[in-house]
Amino acid sequence: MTLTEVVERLGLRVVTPAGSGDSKVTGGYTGDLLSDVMANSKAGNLWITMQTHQNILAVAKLKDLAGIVLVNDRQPNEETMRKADEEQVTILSTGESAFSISGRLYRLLARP
Amino acid sequence: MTLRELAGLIEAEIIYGEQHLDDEFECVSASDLMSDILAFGMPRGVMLTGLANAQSIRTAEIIEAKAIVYVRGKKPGEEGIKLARERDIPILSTRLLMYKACGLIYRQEEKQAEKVSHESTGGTVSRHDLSRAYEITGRNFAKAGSVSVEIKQILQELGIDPAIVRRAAIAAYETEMNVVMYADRGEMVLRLNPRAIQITLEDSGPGIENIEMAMQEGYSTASDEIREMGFGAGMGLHNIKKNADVFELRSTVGEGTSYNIVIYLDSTEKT
Repeated sequence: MTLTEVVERLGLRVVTPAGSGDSKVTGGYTGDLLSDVMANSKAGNLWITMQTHQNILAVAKLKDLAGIVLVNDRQPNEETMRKADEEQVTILSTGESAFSISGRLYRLLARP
Repeated sequence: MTLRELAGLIEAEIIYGEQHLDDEFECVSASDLMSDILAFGMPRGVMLTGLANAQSIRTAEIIEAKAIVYVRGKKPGEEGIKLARERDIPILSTRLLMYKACGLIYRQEEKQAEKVSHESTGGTVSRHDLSRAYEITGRNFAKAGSVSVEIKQILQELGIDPAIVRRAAIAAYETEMNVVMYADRGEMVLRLNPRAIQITLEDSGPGIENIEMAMQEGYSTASDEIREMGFGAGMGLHNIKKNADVFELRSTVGEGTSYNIVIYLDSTEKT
């Protein structure tokens, strides 16, 4: 499923649209420890987190993640947004919790 | 869902709490940041985290979690298991990643559409005026959170409304953690009168340069070391404000910070 489809189906807000909406979402990865995401996420994963520190961009970039979903209505600061545009990383946001958006993404991607 | 069903569903090992396996839980919070769990975690819920330090267990106690599930095969050390046993908080460990564990539990919850309703019971134990002072040492992460847990127990024993106890415990905990993370030392005082709970704290430390900025959600000057422990996400002061009816913060750079937190016992009294 493409990132654009996932955004539509889960009703996510697009905070920085810089990345490609056509990239394929291979799964999800939920976590707030950068070292963990760095070690265990897979290319094409949509990263679900509440971290808004600009270091998230480097992780997304280095691991070729499909995008970042900020939960509980968290907003990145301007510096993070500016860098996301520069580095072409898609940041999305939702008012839902990490648990519920992970659950819904899992269900969505599990469907044939 | 019961803890037993949960354990089967995500193939979790039960590290402590066999006797609680038939307990029901009502919701799940998933995070590696303890401040996030304190802000959004619900009582009687299960806490999913990849952070297996003693703070995760203290956080679970503060929010009254039914159980902690460690993901990615994480397990607390002996100290953590001892603390969980003392506090009687079930701990489970699964090899699954957080994402998949959430996915499986979410799907199962959807299947069991039936909602569990609960009634809160208000206590009416008479309360005398009370005042207690506690010393908090900066950088002592091993003891961090213990003052708040004690405050919570006192308030609980007095039969104060659990929702109010919870708010006071969260505000105390975030305040205590601020001393541990940033200051050299601090004195926390708990006062109780028939109308309100007051928690004040004076610390000696670097102080806060820009209070307005520090109050903003997400603003933090925390070191990577603090962040890796699941703190320092810039939620602390915001969390205190969210849970207090009155929150005043004063700071002198190079000297220290003082906190004044008031929570009214009758929640309709909010100003």
